Amino acid sequence: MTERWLHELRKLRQIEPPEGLWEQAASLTANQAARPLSPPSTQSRRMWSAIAAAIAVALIAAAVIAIRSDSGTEQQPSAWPGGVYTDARFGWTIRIPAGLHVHHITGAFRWSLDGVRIASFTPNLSHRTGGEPEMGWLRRFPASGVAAQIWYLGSPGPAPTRSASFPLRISTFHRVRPYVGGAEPAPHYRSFAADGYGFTAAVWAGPDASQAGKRAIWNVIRSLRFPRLRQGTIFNNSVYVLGPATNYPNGSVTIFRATSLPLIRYPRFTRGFYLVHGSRGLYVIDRLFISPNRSPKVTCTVAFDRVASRFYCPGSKLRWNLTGRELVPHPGPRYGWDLSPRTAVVSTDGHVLVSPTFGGFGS
Amino acid sequence: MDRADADQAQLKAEPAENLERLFRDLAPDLWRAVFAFAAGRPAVADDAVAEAFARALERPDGIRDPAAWLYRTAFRIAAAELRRERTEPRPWASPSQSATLGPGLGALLPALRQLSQAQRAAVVLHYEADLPVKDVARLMGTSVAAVKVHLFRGRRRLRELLGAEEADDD
Repeated sequence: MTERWLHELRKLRQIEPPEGLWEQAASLTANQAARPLSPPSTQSRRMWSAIAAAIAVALIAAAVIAIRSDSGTEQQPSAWPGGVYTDARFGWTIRIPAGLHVHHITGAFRWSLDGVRIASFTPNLSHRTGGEPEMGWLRRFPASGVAAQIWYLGSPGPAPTRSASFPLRISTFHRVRPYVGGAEPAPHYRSFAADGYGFTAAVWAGPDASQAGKRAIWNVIRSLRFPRLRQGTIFNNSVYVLGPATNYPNGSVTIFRATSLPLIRYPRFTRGFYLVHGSRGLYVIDRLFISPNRSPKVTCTVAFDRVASRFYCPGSKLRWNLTGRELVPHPGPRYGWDLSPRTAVVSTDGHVLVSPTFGGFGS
Repeated sequence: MDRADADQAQLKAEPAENLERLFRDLAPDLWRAVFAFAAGRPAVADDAVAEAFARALERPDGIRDPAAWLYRTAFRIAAAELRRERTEPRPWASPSQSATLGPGLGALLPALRQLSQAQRAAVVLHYEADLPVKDVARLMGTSVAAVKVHLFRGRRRLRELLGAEEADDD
């Protein structure tokens, strides 16, 4: 017999890490991925300890300041006059009836978390749990209250390629445990993808909530729509909006030169790429290839041989197939000689979206 | 020759192959520890573990105690990643993801999120990775006394959130 919390903690032992981590490690070595911190050495342990302590102090101070400043600036939501609410970042809209309390939610940094909270009552925002998004307001949930929340919470890495279909159906939501374990009812919850980003929606209804109240809050969720995008623009500061997916038929390889693309400022990105519509979907191959640094250095602008249907590095023997796999294994280090395909996404309105933040396919 | 020296000697002999072997032995536990430290963000655990081994691959002959080095490095990378997520975030595992990651984690992961980073690190390394307090202190770059404080507060918070009553071991 062990205490409940320890029993719960040890349930972690039942999960397994994903496959392909070793390959990921090896490819990181070859590709010289960004190193946020220098590796430690035994000789510098003391220095690292001091730095770690200083960082910890700074972090705690920053967290305290962030929490204080956040609580200080957080406004009590006001009663909504009724009409369409538009999310400033992603452009999605919901229709909210008059009288509900509406509040735009953000994280410590505005673009880390983005969403909206809608409630039939004035949420008590002084209760804080420190989570993202902050769910402390659920601790005091009126028995007759209804509420909903829609939010985005970061999704670098492989972008979700399939957008959900709208309107979101109630039957696709499921009941989950309460977030804060207070008086709040268990939420109806679902995650969904749209335009290359992952979102979450949750709906709460108190035990004494009226049918009209429940209907109103679900209608808000049902009204969720994503915007029409315009070809040739940048969406959400980091996503190229290409043409409609039907412009790039199965088997096509379309070149996008850096000079023809608008500059993405975050993260700064000016590389051209090939958009490939392969048998398993759309993906992107960067036009810039840089070999692993421990080998004879090769940097080239990748060209495409339409006759042989393969990529190649002009002036070298490097050849890759359509998915970027090296056709003739290079002598020397095994890793880093393949091209790295990245996900391309089809938006809710059918445009192809490409972004350096969408990430690769993994291993 | 102690275990660390033996590991180092092996790494020097056939660095990549032996590190791959070490990966097979160590990576599952390390990944779980970082996953718990990141309070249920599998992407952070994936990246931290992969990155730690990538760094080890690049400098196999410079590591005296590879296992400790990998733990230390992976936790540092994860901590840096969590800091960076203040500006460039990744999602927490959602309740639905938690459910698919393993049974019962839907309660544990939100509870871990209520702990400070230091409390999470101490609790996870001591109770999940089964490391002695002394080793936890070494990995965290802090004192044994500080780790004990983190453990005390972390335990107390987890008891509040998950319950202190006894549960059957299964």
